[in-house]
Amino acid sequence: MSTQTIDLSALAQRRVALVGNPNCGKSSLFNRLTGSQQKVANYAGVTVELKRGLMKTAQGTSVTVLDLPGTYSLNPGAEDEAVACQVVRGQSLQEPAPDLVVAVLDATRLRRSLRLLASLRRLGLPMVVVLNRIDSARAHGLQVDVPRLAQVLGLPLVATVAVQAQGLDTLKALLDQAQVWQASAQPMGTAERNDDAQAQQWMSEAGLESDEPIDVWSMQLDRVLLHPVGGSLTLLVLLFLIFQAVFAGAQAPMDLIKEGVLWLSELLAQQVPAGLLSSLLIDGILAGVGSVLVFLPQILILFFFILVLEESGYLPRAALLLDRMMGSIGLSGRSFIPLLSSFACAIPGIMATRTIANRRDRWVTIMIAPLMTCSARLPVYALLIGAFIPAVSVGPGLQLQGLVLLGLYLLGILSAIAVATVIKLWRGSGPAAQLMMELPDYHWPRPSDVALGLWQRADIFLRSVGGIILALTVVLWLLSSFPVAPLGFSGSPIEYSLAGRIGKLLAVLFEPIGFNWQIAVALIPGLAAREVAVSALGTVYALSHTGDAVGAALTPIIASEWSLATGLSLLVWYVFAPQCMATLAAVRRELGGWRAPALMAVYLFGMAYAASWATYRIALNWSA
Amino acid sequence: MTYNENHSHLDAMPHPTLNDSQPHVWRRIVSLKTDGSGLADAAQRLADLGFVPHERVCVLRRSWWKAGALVVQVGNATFALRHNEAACIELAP
Repeated sequence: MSTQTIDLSALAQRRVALVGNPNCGKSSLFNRLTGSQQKVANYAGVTVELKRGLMKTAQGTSVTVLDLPGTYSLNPGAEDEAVACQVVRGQSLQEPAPDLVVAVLDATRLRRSLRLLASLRRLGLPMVVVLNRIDSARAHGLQVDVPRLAQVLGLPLVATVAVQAQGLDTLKALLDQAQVWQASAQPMGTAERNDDAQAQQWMSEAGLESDEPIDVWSMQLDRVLLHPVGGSLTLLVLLFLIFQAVFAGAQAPMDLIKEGVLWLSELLAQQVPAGLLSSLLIDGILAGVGSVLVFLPQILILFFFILVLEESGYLPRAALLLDRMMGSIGLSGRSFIPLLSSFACAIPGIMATRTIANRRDRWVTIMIAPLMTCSARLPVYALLIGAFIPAVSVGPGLQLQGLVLLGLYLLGILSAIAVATVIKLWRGSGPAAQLMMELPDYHWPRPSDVALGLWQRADIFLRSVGGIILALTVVLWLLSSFPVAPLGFSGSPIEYSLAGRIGKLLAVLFEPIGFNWQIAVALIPGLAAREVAVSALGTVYALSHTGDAVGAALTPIIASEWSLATGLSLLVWYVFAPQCMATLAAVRRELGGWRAPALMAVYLFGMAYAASWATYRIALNWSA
Repeated sequence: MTYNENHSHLDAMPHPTLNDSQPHVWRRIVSLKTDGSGLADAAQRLADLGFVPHERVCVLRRSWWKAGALVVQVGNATFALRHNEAACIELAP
C-alpha cells in the first residue's frame, strides 16, 4: 500500500491525544480545535476529568481529540498526571492508546517542554509537535528558528498562537497527511537516556540558549500579590467579592426561577383540572425541575470566578496564601474556596473541589462541605429562632436572636474543623506533605474559554446531578401523596400517605431527641431541600398558607405546641442536617459511586443525632 | 545517592541547599538529595518539575513563619515549595 493513499473512513475513528506540561496553553488549543464539540467525562475510579472532542481536518475528516491532563513527565506525580501517562502509554483500561500524539510545547518554557518530548519519543508513537505561545516567546525576546527546531527534532512541527487561527490551519492540514499517522518517530536507542540532557542537546542544536527569559511582569505582580500584607489583603477583598456574588448576586436570578416555576404551576393549575395529574405535574415534576434549575445561578457565578482565577494563574497563589491556615486541619489552601462557597450552597462548593489535585484533600473537603451553613438552612433557622428565642437585647446592638444565629454558623465551622482534625489524626495527612506547586505566569483569561467552561459545568450539573434530583423529587411526591386520604379523614392528607406513615414509625427513633411525629413526617419531604421542611411542616399542620406566609403562620403553632428543648434540638439538628439529596447527588458525581455519599449521610446523621440528643437533654435539665 | 553525574571529592562536604539560600540571590543546582528529607520520591518529582543540575534557582520569597512555604524561581518557572522540599535541592557553593 502506498503511504500517500489513505482510507478516509478509517480516519474518522482516529484518536489524537494532546499532551503537554500544565499551563502550556493546551486546553485553549483544544477549545480552538474542537469548539463546542466536546464532552467532559470522569475517568473511572479516580476523580480526574478527561475532555474528549471532535475536530475536522483541513479536508473535513472528523478526528477524535483527547485533552489529557497536563503533566511534567511520564513519571506520574499526581493523580491526573497518572491518567495522562496511562493513556499515552496505552496502559489505560478505559481509553485505547491514541493513534497520534500531539505534543504541545510551550515556547516560553522550552527546556522542560522538550524534556517531556524526549520521554514521549521513547514511546515510539506517531507524533506531531505544536510549538505554542510563540508570540509570548517573541515578546520576551526569544527567537525560535522554527524550521531548524523541526529539523533537529525530526518531527513535523507547527508553531501556533492559541488565539490565532493561522497555526491551527497548518495543524489541521498536517493531520490529512498519511505519513504523520505512521510511527516515523524512531524510539530512542538508549531507553534510559537522560531526558534533560536530550532536551539541552536539542536546544543547543537549534541554536537556543538554555537560560530562558523570565516573565518580568508576572514577577512584579507577585511582589504585590504574594506580599504577606498586601497579598493577604488583596485575597481577602477578592474572597469577599466572590462570597458576596455567590450569596447575594445569585438571589435575583434564583428568585426569577422560583417565580417562573410558580407562574408556570399557576398556569398549569388553570389548564389541568385539580387532582392527581395536576398534583404530579405541579408538585412533582415542575417542583423538581425548579429545584434543579435554582442551583444554576450560584454554580455559574462561582465557576465564573474560579475559571477566571484559574486561567489568569492566580488560583494557585491564593491557595499558597491560604495554605498555612488550612494546613492546621490537614488540608491545603486549595480547599478554601470550595468551603467558602459552601456557605451559599454545598452543591457549587462540592463541584468546585475539582481544583484540588490531591485526592485525599479533595475527599475530606467534600465530606466537610455540608457542615458549612448553607443559605437553604436560613428559612428553617428563621422559623425556629423566631418561635423559641426571645427577641431581647443582650447588650448595645446585640440581639439574642442574632447571637444564636451566629452561634449556629460557628457550630458548623467548629464541627468541620473537628471532623477534619479527626480524619487527620485517624488516617494521617497522607502523602499531602508535598506542596511543589507551580505558580504560572499571569495571563488574561480568554472569554471564550471561560464561557465554554461555564457551559460544561452547567451541562454536567444538569445531566448527572439534575436527573437524580428530579427523580427523587417525584419519588418524594409519590410518597407524600399516596395512598390518598379518604374523605372523612380528620388529619392532614400527608398524615395518611406513605411519607406520613414512615414518619410516624421514625418518630420512635426521633423521640429521644425530642422530635414529635409532625417533625419526623416533615423531615421526609424535607429531603428534597432543607428549606422545604418549613413548607412541609405547614402541610403537616394542615395550614392553607403558601410561600412566606407559612413561616409566619407556623411560628405561633410550634411556639405553643413544642417545648423549648424540642425547638433547640431541631435547630442543632439543622447544623448537621444530612437530609439534602442534591448534595448527596453532587458527591456521587464528583467522587464517583454511591459509597462516599452513603458514608456522608451516615456520618452527618450520626453527628446530627448526637448533637440534638445532647442539646435536648441539656435543655430539659436546664429548664426543669 | 544523588542525581549528580560526576561524583567528586566535594561529596564529603555538605552542599548548601536551597532552603539555606538568601532571597533574591541566583544560584545553580548541583544535585538533588534523594534521602534525608523524609519525603518519598521528592527528588524524582523535583527533577520532573525542572529542578535539574546546572539550572539556575533563586528564592523569591520566604514566609515570615518558620514552617511556611518558599516561592522559588527555577529557570523561568516559579514554584511554591515546602522547606523540606527546598532542602533536597543542593546548590553550588
